[in-house]
Amino acid sequence: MYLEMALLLYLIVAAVTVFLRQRLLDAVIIYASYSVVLSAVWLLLLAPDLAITEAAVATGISGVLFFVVLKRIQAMDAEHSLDEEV
Amino acid sequence: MWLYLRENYYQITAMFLFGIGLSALLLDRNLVKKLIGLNICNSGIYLFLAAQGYIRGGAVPIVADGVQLYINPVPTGLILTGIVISVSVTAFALALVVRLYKRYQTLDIDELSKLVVKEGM
Amino acid sequence: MVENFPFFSIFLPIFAAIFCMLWHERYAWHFTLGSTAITLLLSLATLNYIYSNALSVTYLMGHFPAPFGNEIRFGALEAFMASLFSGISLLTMWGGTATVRCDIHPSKLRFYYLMENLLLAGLLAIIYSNDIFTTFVFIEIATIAACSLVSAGENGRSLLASFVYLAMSLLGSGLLLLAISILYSITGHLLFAGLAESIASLVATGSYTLPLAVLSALTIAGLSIKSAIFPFHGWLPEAYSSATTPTSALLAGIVTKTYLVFLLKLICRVFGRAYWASMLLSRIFLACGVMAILYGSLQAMRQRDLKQTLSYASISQIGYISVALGVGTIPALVAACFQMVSHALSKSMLFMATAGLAEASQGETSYKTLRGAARRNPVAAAAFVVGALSLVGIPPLPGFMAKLYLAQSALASPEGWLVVPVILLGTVLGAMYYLPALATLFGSDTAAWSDRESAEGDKSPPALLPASLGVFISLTVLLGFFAPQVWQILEQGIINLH
Repeated sequence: MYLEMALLLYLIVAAVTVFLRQRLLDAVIIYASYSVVLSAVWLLLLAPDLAITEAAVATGISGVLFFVVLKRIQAMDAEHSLDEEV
Repeated sequence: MWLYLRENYYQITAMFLFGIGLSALLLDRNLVKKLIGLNICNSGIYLFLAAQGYIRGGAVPIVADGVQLYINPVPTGLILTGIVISVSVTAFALALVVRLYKRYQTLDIDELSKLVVKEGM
Repeated sequence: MVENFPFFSIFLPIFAAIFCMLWHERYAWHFTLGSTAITLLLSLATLNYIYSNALSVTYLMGHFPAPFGNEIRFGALEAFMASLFSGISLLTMWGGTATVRCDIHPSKLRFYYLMENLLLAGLLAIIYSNDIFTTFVFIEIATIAACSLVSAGENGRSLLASFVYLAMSLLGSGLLLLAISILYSITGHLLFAGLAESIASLVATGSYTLPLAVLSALTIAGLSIKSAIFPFHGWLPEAYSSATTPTSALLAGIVTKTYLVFLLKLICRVFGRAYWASMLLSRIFLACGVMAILYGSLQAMRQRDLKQTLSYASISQIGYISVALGVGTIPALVAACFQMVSHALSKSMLFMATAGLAEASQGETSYKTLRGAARRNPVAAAAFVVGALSLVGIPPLPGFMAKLYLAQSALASPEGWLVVPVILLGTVLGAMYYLPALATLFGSDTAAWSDRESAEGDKSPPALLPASLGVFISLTVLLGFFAPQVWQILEQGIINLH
């Protein structure tokens, strides 16, 4: 039970952190970690099909899509993406 | 009241995530952060639904010998559909974001509104 | 045999969508029009069969019995709405051929028709389905298709409008999914029949009142966001005015109505009319409708672009539908359906007429460039006049009959003191924003226009747009004259909806 509470607390902290970071690269990386922990939470809720889908689709495909978009909008490099508008 | 909170911490976390995602969707100015907020909002709803389907003392819903009680597998099906819908919509919205950036070189929604109106003049 | 037709009419546009992708763009147009025409014929045949036998058919998919299988259920109302939607889709796609070919890049035309087919399939499935989660899935399909159609224009404005539409629409779907999850966890059913029994027993024993109230509020909020009822109408003006005009005709005519038809089915089949009338939520919904009527009309008076005026006018007219749904008695619900039908026809016709007028005015729709457009394109101007008169509420046309039915049903209910003056006020305000548009169209023609030819060559057979506008005008006038017969069909549909 304490493991579950710790993971859920991580989810909330990660969700808040995503929006407080200025750089888009940081936000997308923290969002990908959010997806991985959410996948573990699905396992704790005894739903293995959800865990597989979340890991493959939401972390894998959605994460890759966000990174490709970051490359297209030139926010990938740590030096370039200092402003939030970029 | 405290017993209720201690028993239902999944649902409460799910509603917190929904609220955080919603406030990011409405208040943040960058389009990509709005999309991440939408995803977090949706995953909060899925967490809520999965927590409603969980039965304490149940087993994983895969047929095995000697198991008396399974958890409810129907919400899992609903959530799978939801996750797939969420990813496809994210993909479409990201395509729109890339096209907007190529055209206007900014992703800030206030500046985009002004630029779009100016272009139409 | 006829009972299989709704199933085919949902899947035929999906197959046509797949076939649109595979071949040359010319065949995409043929596939789309062919499949929409066949869908229209199937829906009309279903309507004829259902209405003449006064049936309400439950169709089990795959012969699986109730709690395990999925169901489609159709009575006169669903068949009528399906015929109307496929008819409007056929007319707007047929008449808008030339405009679509000019506005959209030729390599993307296949995808445009594919999305339009998927939109029609999704909307038909929302109308016919008897299962709340199937409806949710097809709502998502329709949302993605509609957003793709909005973003298909070549200007940056449509991209931003499509993004805002997508974000708000997904928020609405998220609220709807939350309501479905609460509903499933307190009742355990997903089919409408099981849900109706469970909710009736929960209301009778008085248990779970707070979850029921919360989930009804979430459902209303979600569906209001998607159909642009007053506080959540923000996405609508930009989306309608930046899309290509046949797309605006399609969206304004049928997409927002479908979510209101789904709300109507929820009221009649799941919550029950008695429970809905006793909820405070229906009064709030009625109040939002009243504010929509006034706000939409006042904003429409300030606009200087014809498509923006029509968009704000749409917000106002959808307010009438939500007022009727808020009243909740059977005549009010039938009046709501009649207003949906009349507004769908008239608003699609107005947008197609705008396409015709814009074609004759170098593709722009602001009042400055549209001066005297009536002389350049008389058929489109005639269609615009008929549509405007219908929506304002001039006697033989269907808009007047809709407002009359609404006022009659409201007088018999306790909210009549609010609804009837608002309808009168809305009619007056409606005249006030259509008059500047008509004055501009019939105003003096600037000399520079009269000897300039239209710059775009015709890559399609001529006279498609005037032909479709002619069909629209005749349908509107016929609807106005045959209003009592249509009332009977809709009333039988609503009574059999339970």
